[in-house]
Amino acid sequence: MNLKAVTAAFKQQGIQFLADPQWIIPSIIAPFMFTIVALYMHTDLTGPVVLTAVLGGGVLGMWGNMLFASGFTITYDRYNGTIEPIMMTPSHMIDVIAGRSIWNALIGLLNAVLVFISAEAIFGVGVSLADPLMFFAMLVLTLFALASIGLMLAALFVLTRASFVVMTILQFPIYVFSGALFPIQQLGVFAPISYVLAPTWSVDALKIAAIGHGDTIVSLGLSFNVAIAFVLMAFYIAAAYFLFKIIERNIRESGALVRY
Amino acid sequence: MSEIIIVEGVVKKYGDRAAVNGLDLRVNEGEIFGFLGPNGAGKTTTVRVISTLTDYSEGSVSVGGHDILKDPKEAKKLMGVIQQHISLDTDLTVRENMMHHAMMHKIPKSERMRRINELADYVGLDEYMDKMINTLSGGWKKRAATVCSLLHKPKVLFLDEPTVGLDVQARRLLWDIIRKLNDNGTTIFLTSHYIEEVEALCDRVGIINDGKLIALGTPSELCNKLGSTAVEYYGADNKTEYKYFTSREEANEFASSLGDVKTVIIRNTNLEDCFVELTGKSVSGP
Ligand SMILES: Nc1ncnc2c1ncn2[C@@H]1O[C@H](COP(=O)(O)OP(=O)(O)OP(=O)(O)O)[C@@H](O)[C@H]1O
Ligand SMILES: [Mg+2]
Repeated sequence: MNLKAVTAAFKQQGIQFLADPQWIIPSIIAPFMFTIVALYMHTDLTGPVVLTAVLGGGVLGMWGNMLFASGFTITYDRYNGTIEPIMMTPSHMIDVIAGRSIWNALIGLLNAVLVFISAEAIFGVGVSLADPLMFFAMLVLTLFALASIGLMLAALFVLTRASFVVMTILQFPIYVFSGALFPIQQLGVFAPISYVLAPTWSVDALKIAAIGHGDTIVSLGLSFNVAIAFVLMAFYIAAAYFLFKIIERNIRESGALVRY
Repeated sequence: MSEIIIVEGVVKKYGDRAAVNGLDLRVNEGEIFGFLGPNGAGKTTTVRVISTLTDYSEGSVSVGGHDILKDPKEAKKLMGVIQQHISLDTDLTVRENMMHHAMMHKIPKSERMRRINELADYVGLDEYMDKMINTLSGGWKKRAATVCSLLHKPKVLFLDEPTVGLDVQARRLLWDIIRKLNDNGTTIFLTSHYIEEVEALCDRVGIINDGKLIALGTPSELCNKLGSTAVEYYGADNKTEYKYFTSREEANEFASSLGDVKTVIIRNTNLEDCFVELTGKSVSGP
């Protein structure tokens, strides 16, 4: 990995984000609306349900942002023909995608924080946090868990031209399976899917930090969750690295991924 | 003179169809090499293969003594490419695009700004540095792309049809930039189907058709091979015919032997004649 390239891509994504304000809609406004609706539905309730609503909005915001950004990132390069000049440099595609993902992750974090603050300010349903500092740390972990899935998905998006369709299809599953919307026990036979998703463990860690306990079957405490999340993330990143190698080889063979 | 690019027996297939079909080519260090060919002849594919953007199934390529498969990193350091299509980030300004490229090339921070300003000055882009790419005309975009491809100080610069879509003035300005770069020691590999461009710029010319090199030499060598004098006549069948001769005398003799024709022109053979003869009649004709 080439840090200079990662930084360059991070900056590039930042400039693009600021240059094109339409991104505010999917990455900030949409999840915000979603949380407000969820909070209206739950105002008579307290405790874990409220936490779930707020967490749901926050995670949805981070994920939606990640997903759309990873999908669009390649579409954008395809349109501009900007992948090939990178292949002429000593930097790799994955450096570029990683740099962009980190920027997107930061926007996602901003978005999640906004959701939490407005839940408190507008609805007065602030989740009383057992360990606020840890909660914030786990929020960052969740973000990177999502970003690492995003990295892997960005690679898959290169391989398909139907990235818009795939993006839309993938928006909800992570949200449902991560336990951010409702406890994963309610997923029944589908629960195993949750266990291979890094965000499940970080969302659970968020719950532990907020209310002292989570809902995974194996609950060995927060550090256990963090460890598993890291292992899964390492796996996603390795998979992404591998996929990008294949993609670069495919591009060289088919002469594709230029403008269309 | 040493050879900086050596291409031997390269084959690149897309599916069953060979875009480059057994190409042998050598480019000398310090020359401006022109690569001519009709649409779909394999010019872009050749540039992509040499510059490592596309792989190939047979043959070998080396650049500056580095085999591009075994030692792609070193080979890439020596090459800069200006692609046929504009490949700049449209949401960024000219300067931001250049900074991005410089970072991708791992150019140290202390040098980045200096090199960008130097090159921008070199191609005359200074005033446009803070404009968005989208607001520039084609000629300025090409110049911005030129700067991006020169940031890492390549020894060979590939230009794939650099002047397509440019007006006469922009084209001449780009020619001057190419000449200046070459004067400063950069080897130029230029593809084009504008014959006058190749005639104006190039020391040597290769003509490619159907993925094969069909002629190679200086423009005058190629013309002499065909015959240094051309007779162009508009005959009774309403078709312009061309005949080539090794001397004026022969040409005159032939012209006077022509009976009932409307127009006869006797002139020096030019590269366009070679191009048409080689890619048109003699290759695909009987
Ligand atoms: N990525 C690709 N996939 C499939 N076929 C391709 C691809 N790129 C080029 N070809 C085919 O290979 C042949 C050579 O194409 P190439 O682009 O190298 O020609 P060219 O000489 O650059 O033409 P032009 O003057 O139009 O730019 C053409 O028949 C083209 O259709
Ligand atoms: Mg071409």
